[in-house]
Amino acid sequence: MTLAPGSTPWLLQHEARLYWRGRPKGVGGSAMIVVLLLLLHLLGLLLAWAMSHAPALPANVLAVGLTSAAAALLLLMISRCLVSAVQVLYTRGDFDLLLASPMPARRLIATRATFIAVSVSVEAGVLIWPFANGFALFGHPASLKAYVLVPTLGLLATSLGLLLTLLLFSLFGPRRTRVIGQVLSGVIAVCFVFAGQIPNLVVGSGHRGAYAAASWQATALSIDGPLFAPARLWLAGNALPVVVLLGGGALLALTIRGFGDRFMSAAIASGGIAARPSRRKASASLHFAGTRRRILVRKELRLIVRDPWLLTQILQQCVAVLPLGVLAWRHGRGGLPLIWAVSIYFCGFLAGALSWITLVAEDAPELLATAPISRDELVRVKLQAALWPILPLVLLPAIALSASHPWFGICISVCAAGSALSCALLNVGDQPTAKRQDFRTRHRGKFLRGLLEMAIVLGWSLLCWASVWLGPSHGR
Amino acid sequence: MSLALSVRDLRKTFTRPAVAGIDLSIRPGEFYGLLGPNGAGKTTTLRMVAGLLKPDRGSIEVFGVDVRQDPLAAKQLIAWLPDEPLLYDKLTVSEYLEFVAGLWQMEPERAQRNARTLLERLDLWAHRDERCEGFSRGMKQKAVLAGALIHEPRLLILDEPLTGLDASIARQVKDLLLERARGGCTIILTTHILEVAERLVDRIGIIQSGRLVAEGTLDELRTTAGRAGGTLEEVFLRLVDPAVAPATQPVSS
Repeated sequence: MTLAPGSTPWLLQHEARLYWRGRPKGVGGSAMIVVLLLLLHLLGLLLAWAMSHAPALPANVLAVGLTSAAAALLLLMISRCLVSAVQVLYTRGDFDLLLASPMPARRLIATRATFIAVSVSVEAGVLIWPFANGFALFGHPASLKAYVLVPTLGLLATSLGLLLTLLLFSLFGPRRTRVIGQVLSGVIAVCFVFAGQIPNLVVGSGHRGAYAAASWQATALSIDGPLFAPARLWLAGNALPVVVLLGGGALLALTIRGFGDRFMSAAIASGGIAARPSRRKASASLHFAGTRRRILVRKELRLIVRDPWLLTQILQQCVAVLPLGVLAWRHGRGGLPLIWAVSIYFCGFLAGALSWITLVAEDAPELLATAPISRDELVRVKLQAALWPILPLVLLPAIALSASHPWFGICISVCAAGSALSCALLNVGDQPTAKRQDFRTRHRGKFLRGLLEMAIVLGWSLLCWASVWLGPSHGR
Repeated sequence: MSLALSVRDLRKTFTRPAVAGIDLSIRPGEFYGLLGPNGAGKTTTLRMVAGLLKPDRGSIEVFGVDVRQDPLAAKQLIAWLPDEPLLYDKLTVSEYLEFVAGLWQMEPERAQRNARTLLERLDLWAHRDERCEGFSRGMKQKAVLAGALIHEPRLLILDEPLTGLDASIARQVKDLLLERARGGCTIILTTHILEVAERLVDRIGIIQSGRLVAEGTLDELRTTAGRAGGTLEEVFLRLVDPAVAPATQPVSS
């Protein structure tokens, strides 16, 4: 089908093409998506089957659960939309070309905003809809309302993401908005993970925990109050979801109409803006010092520490350990302080992330390739730079547990060190150089490498467990 | 006395031959211009000399050091400056220079002295504590040039160093290069700006389809092309003209 050039569908097709770039293509890519969807459906069916044997949930608990889940999902979507909106402003790519074309600017913004809403909804929907299908098959057809809820939240998140971007732009100006927006997005995503752990922290883990947490919230926050009213109405009415979806669409349309011009002005203002010259207090002279190894390590650490976006990305991915930590904390109460064991995962992941940054995401690979330094030495130094920041985390369990559970502490520290070193070594090899901006997607197309990282961490955790139980007095 | 650069029968094939048997002999202290149309094999040749690509065949010696046998010793003598600046945006210029000096294992005092001289010479001293991310392209290129010169290379390889620079910065760069050449540094330069080559270089090699088709001073090239009194542009276009090129035999330097 040929779309009229310059029309909204034509622009949407252009957006879709850009979005899909870099993602798996061909038969292999399609097969991967199909397998992922099948797996998610299988999980959804299993969960729905298990829930069908549990007592039916009271309406107030459902309302609380729905509100909490929707709020958490909205947070995640806003985080994603904020990044996308900032990208529209700063990752110029084709944007300058489109702005220079004789196309109505508002159409351009409307198309881009619509595509953000669509992409964020589909990304969330792919993870949620299979579960909705499973529940529908096991006697809960109302769960199919997720097909409306997710796009509604997507539209709402896009509106909020655009407004938030404009707010940042007016508060911080074109030079700082990019970094602040990216950092804020990371912080919001971290909040999402924390929000997801509230039930586990408050009452307990698993289905019973979630149930108890919802009941607790229903009591504590007054189920009849306005906070849960949308959820109650949503669960009660069949026509309401469609009305809400239309409302979401109208809100986005109003946002574009009301703020589209300002967004366009921001886009124009941000074009060609270089980063703010960041300067320390100028020194009177230069002070070069240290051996080659120290200079190289210092350079790697400076590049990491001075990149707030990268730091939030690392933090964001590190908090993935939080559910595991909460679980370990709950099960460790009274016996061994199991939460310390999480450091094996944490150190492994952090070492994998930092070594990827130092070894693979090198900004000037040709400079290093033309320098009189052997590849082996370079790799050693870069590994050192990646592992130095982790050293305190590796030593912490042994020091903190030296009085109460010395053997347990030593086992954790040794295994955390092993986990960190093994995960860091995974990045040694002839990998093509990547950009730091690709940190989030560094495992894309490298499924086995990601799996191997998990297997390594798991292996060291098992070794730690075995050492503790075979050791003196079960770790004490 | 050994040559600054001696290249013999250098060959490299990607999907098609990029360099098809090039011989080059460049004397110490010479300012040499390697010219050719896009895709002629200039950058590939220079990348092999700098150790960024492995040749399929042939030998490369830098001041008598075999690049393939002893790459680290050869790299100690070379600086490579590509058209895209090799910089770290999050480092300040002085940190960048400290890093480059560290890579070449310079003594800190000497590195500091050189860095100061270069930064002052290139009007970057006032910006020494600013991160490179805020720099214009010209400033970045000057910072990279300072990085290339800080370790006092004996052979400086420049691939399109003046691309995208304004007249004032281009002038600064050209003056600094001439000064270095007078000081005994051997410089090899590729450029599409023929006026630059005409003004700067002592000898010119013209490369086409991976072969050196002509070499010599501008006057010698004028004679080869049969364009007495012609500009380098006229000479160059004549020598790479497909109608003329078949008659032009590959040159053994």
